[in-house]
This record gives sequence, structure tokens and C-alpha cells, in this order.
Amino acid sequence: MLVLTRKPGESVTIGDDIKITVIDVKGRQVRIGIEAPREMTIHREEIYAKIHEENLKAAFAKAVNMQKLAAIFPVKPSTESEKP
Amino acid sequence: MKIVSGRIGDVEIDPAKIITFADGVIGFPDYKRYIELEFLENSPLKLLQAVDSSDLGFIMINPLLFEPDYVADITMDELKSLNTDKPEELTTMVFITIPENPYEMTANLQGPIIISTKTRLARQIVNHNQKYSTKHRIIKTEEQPANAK
Repeated sequence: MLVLTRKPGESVTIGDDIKITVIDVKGRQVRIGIEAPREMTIHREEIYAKIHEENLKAAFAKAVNMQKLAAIFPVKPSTESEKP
Repeated sequence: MKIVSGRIGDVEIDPAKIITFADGVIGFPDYKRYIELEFLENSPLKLLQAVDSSDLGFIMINPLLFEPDYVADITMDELKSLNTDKPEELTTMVFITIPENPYEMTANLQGPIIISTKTRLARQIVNHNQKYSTKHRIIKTEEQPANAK
């Protein structure tokens, strides 16, 4: 990992198209501004990692017992609240 | 064209129905082509099979079936990347993780799949609404048979 020290207002550039700016620091929180091409997705890492992990579990699920699965439907998947 | 699905074997598919994920799904950026297959009769569960990898497939379901108020907040940029400006042309699905006891299956409501029915382009997005988790239980415990295992 490349580690650089920046003051509020200073930036780093990645390639030609990405710029990351430290906006300000308050206590232990840093506000970061990111300029990047619109088609690039930017996410808080822990959320992205959670979805990645869940995708891995979903993709490599062990051979599903088809009979058990078939037995579950037509049990209607339930909703949290029963609306009148 | 013929493809192989690790879960259901050889399948004949219509290439016009191939769904393209420009960035793949999260964690699998190299596989961009998928096809939606039925794998269980009369079931809302669908198989999203990777066209280029027989081992890669996801079981998915329309979240409105169990979360009628579910909304996937898609941004304007994400919408544009699907070459559509009409939200009504979009279908939202979510991946399901099925454990040993299938009654404990969970849906990833935080990372829904958005598919344009018109362009056949799709992407997996992050749903920023705090109330949705990656492991949403679909079936209430009291609905499970006593001898589910």
C-alpha cells in the first residue's frame, strides 16, 4: 500500500482520471472528496467487502437439495408485517 | 447456443436473452455474460447462470415477493450505464444464499441486481438504505416444519 501524508486541501491523483482530496479532519474522522469517471463505482470498503463475501457464499453454495427446495414453495415467502 | 450449467447440466439458450454485466457482479469482474434459467418448476427461484463458466451461478428471486416495499436506490449514473432512462424497464432481483437447511435461506438485499429488460444490460448495485442487510431471512421461523432438517 502506498502511504502518503496530506494536509486538508491537498490531494493525490491516481492515473489521469482520479483525484482524491482530503477536505477536512475533525477529531478522528477524515472527509475525503473523490473525483473519478462517472462509470467508476465508489463505495465504503466495508460495505463492498460484505457484498463480495455474500456473493461468494451464494455462488459456491454446496449442491442444493432440490427436493427440500421444491417443498418450500408454494409456502408463500412471508412479509414482515401483515397488511389488512 | 449450448452452454453447461454446473447445477442443471447442458442447456440450450437463446443468445438474444444473454444479460450483460459490464463490470461483472461484485467479486467476479471477469464474467460478464449471464442467462436467467428456470431450474425448479413453479418456483419464484431463478438461476442466473454464467454463460462462460459452468461453475458460476447464482440463485435469485424478486424481492417484492417477500418485501413488498423494497426499493433499490439506483443512481442516475448507474441508470445511464444500463443505457436506459426509464425506471419502468428495470427488474430488480436479489441473490439468495441457501445453507444446509434451505428454510434458513437468506437474500442479499444490500446488493441487488438491476436488469434492464430492454437493453439486457445489468449491474449489481449497493443499496444504501440502512434497513437492508446482506443476510435477510426470507422464511419466518414459525413456518418451518418441525423436522426441517
